[in-house]
Amino acid sequence: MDIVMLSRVQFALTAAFHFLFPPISIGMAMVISVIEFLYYKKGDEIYKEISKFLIKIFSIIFAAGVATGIIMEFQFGTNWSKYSEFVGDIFGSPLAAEAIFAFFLESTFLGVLIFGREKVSKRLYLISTFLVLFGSILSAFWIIVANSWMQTPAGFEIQGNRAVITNFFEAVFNPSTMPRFVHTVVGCIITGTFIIMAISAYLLLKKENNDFGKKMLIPTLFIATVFSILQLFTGHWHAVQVTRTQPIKMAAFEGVFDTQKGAPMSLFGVPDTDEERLKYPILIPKMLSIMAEFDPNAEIKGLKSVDKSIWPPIHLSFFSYHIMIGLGMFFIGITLLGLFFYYRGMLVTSKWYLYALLFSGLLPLISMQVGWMAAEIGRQPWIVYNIMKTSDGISVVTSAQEVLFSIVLFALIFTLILLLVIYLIRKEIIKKASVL
Amino acid sequence: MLLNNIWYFLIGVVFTVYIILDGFDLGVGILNRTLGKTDSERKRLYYAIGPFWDGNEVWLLTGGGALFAAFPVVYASVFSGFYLALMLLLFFLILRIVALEFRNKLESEKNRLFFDNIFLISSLLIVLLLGVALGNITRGLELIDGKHYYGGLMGLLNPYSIFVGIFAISVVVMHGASFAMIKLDGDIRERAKKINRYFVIINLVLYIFNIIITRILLPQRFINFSNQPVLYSLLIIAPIFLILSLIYNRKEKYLANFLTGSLFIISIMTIFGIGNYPYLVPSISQNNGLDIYNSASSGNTLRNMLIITLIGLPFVLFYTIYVHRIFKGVVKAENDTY
Repeated sequence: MDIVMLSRVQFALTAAFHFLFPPISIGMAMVISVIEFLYYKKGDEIYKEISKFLIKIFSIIFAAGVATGIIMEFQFGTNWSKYSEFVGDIFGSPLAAEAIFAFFLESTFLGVLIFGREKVSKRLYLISTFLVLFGSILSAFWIIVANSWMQTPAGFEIQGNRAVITNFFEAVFNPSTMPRFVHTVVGCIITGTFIIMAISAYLLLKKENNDFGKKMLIPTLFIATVFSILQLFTGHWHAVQVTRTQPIKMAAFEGVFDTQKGAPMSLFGVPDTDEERLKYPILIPKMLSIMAEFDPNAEIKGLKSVDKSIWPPIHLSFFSYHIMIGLGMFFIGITLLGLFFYYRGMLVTSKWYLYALLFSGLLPLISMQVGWMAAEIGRQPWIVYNIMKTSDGISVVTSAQEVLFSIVLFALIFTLILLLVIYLIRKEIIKKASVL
Repeated sequence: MLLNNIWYFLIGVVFTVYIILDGFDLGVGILNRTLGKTDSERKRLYYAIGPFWDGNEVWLLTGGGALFAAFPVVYASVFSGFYLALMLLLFFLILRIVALEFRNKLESEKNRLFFDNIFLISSLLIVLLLGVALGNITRGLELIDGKHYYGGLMGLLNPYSIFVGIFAISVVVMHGASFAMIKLDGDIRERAKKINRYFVIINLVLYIFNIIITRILLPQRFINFSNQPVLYSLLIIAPIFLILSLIYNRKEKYLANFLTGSLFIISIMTIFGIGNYPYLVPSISQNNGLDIYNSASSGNTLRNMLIITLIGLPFVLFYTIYVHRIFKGVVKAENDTY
């Protein structure tokens, strides 16, 4: 493999592995805040027990996130030095802002959560949980600002061989920042809630109708339902933005080859890049035009409107996008069903539903990963959309062997981290199940 | 051009604070088998740094981000030029977090001991790598086209830089022992006192030796001092902090010992900063390199970043002081909140 491909593999590996943990952290922080709030309001000791248990798991996930996140701060320079020089004037600021505004906040109050329950007042402890949640969302904001600028660059001009900022606010709030930020954070909350619902379901299956599992499941189910439904709207918002600002990316997502008026939305299909058409399609006529422009006859750009050399990888974009949407629909279905069962008083007694929750626990994590893949692969071959090609961004002095070495190094330590995280979380859950 | 100077100063501040704060975590890491003779003693050592290390390490991330934002050419060329060294550094930073975070969650004492060793080795190598990097940046690099370093990992391992790496380890050990004296009592404190005393003296020797060889090998690092002879006083002040630190160790004034040790670190970083100015990365052969002008972002970005810093800094200081206040005092033997 050449250095460009190796550098992309290196980035995909480190970013994808890192991206397993922060979404769970954000989602869990949300649930922990709610549980702590219930404890503060109602004084029911069981909420304190639930929160203590969740914080143990949270601290494992958070540590893995911190450990894998360090690489992210440095690898633009190590592996993408030409990119770093080109965008440094713009791209470095959000990374620094993330550290200054978010990382310090998170790390300080996480210390209070883990070590400080006996050292601070109940009220301050509650505030600390809110601040950890707030810090982690703020962190998501700045990193998405940086990434969104790569998708829809704004507020800059090119001077010589670098992009120079002209308007900070336009660069920060570029066209894709807000939809991507909201869409991602909502996804994070769904991810955390589903994992907690799966753990609750496991505990309820181990010991029928136990108070601990019930009081962990019910508030989490409410949060999960609200955010699963909300995701439908944020997803729509984001899709409209992509159609308008990155039409070729949307064309790859939907398998639209010909520019057309009244474009259909594809529920399923297999894009064929040689014949340049979508095979075995299941289509909703005119739906894409309606979604994008609120007009059944609006024109949607197709892939063929640009040279084939600047098409993103069609299959990966298409399938990751569709898997994400399919899973999103499933999350709405399963949470609404849970809510229905709750009002019929059969939520914790319906065994098959608890099993369903248990086995759905990691599905949102998959949808986060494929959603992010769609976003980044759909951006190709550009590292900065329509401005700089990915292949032009790599490091000058770094050799392919060195990059390969780093891939091996990180693969080793990621395996260790993954095994430890699974082992330790499993241990906590089994320990809890044995004392219910 | 004032902004370029401010950012040179601020980057220096960020990395200096990193060395002071994470320095004690790293020092405790290197000393964990020496200070803690039993499993439960070592457990207390982990608790002593538990609430702090993550926030401390954020200073390194901030340094990386700030360098990217303010001096992107340095961020790009140094980090890609130091590729293998940096990858090893990241590897050991991650390994250290794994040891720190997961050690006390493990069931068997054998596994915990294994993680203690990982903690020791990773801390040691982190400091060595950072010290070697600092040494090379003092020494200057072979820069092709004025910015690309092609020397690889082997090119970084020259005697001068390895010496700076060893000096860095010695400083961090002194500093970690100092922190352990504040945070722990009993046998651990007695051991820490002894280690701190030895290493204060070792550092005094290494410091003087470092100044002498730098003067001989790299006279160009003293140009700024010769232009402003008053700056030479810094060279005298730095060892005075060490001597004070030794006196406070004898008097069992632990916090004062820690603070004077920190002032020593601030002094040597200031000397380093003055010696290298205006270069972030000097070239070894010619009198040029990556300086605060040719590697900087636009004035707009430097100004925006300054505003961000001025807004954020009070919060950061508040958090840092706050967390040290909540977790002040000696770490007791039993602690069941974790």
